[in-house]
Amino acid sequence: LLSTELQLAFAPARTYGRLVDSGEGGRAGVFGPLAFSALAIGLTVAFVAARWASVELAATAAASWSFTLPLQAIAACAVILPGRRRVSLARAFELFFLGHAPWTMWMLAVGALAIAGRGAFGAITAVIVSGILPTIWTAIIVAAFARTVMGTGRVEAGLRAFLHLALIWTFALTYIAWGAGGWMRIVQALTP
Amino acid sequence: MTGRTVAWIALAGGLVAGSLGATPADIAPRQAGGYWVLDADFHVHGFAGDGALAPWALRREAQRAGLEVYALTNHNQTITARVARWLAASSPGPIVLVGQEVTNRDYHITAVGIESTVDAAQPAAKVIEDIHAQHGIAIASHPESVAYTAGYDERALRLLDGFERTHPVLYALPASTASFEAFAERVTAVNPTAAFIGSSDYHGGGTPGWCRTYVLARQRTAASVIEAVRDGRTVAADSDGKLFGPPEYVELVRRAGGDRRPETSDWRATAASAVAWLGLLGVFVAPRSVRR
Repeated sequence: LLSTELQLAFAPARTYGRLVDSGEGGRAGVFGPLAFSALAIGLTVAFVAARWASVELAATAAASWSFTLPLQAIAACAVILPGRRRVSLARAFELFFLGHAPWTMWMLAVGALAIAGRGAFGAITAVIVSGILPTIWTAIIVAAFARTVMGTGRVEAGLRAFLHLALIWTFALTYIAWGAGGWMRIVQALTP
Repeated sequence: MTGRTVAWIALAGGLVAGSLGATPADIAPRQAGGYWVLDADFHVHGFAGDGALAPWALRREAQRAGLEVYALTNHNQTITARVARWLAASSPGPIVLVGQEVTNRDYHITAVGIESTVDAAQPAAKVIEDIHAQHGIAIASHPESVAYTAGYDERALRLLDGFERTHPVLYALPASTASFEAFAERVTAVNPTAAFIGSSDYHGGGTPGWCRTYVLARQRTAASVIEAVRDGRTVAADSDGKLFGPPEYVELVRRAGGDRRPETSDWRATAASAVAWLGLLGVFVAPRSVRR
């Protein structure tokens, strides 16, 4: 009854195990979850920035902010490339990107708030703080991916998840710092 | 028909309905006292930077908000603004001014009408001199607390071309309202012709021109807008349309029709967005056909 992404979010190890064993996947391979993420990004940016969405606005917002997807692929390399794998490289990336549900739910929530006229996501602090839950949730999914798809032990899975998390937040905070005028803005935002 | 197909149809339908309803505001040029009264916003952020919208989408939103002039003022860079001006040069719509929010620990200064990035790691007075050397104007940004006003000594206050009198955070807290008022008194005490500026500080969320400036310009050109601010011929409007500025200029704006921001959101746009959002939710939740 639920999409594979949601099954992965709520039972990551069991769902990854089933996907590895069955070979089940989307028709578009890794491009399916990537295209959906780009669509979700475009719509959310349009809702937040303009409180409405047109084809043009959503497409241009998706085109603008989809630079985050290659960065996520780079971070994924830290989890996928080292050591052996139980599946092919392309299949590993496809399964990895199916773990986008926590951030998609975050975007859906932000979009709903914006449409309802309650978006206040111009503030750096709000963006950083509200990202804590999907960050932790994604780390749990990545650890399950490392154990089930990559066949690592518990400790190594945790290390890979931590490395992935560190890379993602390094990319994110570097962009925010550049956009906001310097690292001192991040420090100011996080200092009481 | 599967649930996922229905969701895709809802998503596409919501987007198409949103596209059909997206019409730019029909803003007629207006004059008073021999001046053009232009709707302006001198503090807007865009992508790439900490703004959400890319330059072309931002200009369309500015047009929907009834702006005739806006400055793209990203933090400590001017690349995005220069791209925006280049893109805007060949099509009708609002005048795009190149700007920078010069961002320092002790002040933020909006530089408008500049060509290259101003070094933010210097005292406020030196920053303003650098802006003037590029024939730009310097506006004190959101003086909502001591964090944004501590960097101004008397020399810097004298050099300022304008200060933000209205801004979306003006009424956020009683302390911020008091800080805006106190800073306006500090500036006008030593610099009586400093321009009253209203800015949205739009990043995404809210609307460009939510708070705005009415500029009394001799011509409808970028150079004339800069000149008007330098001469203090402006009136700031808050989010409710309350006007701040020299009484003679406030009177001219009133004579031209006063605050006139168009409605940028209506129930049809909200409904179309809600349908598109539900479609996205459905595509996310519903199981899809798989290969085995």
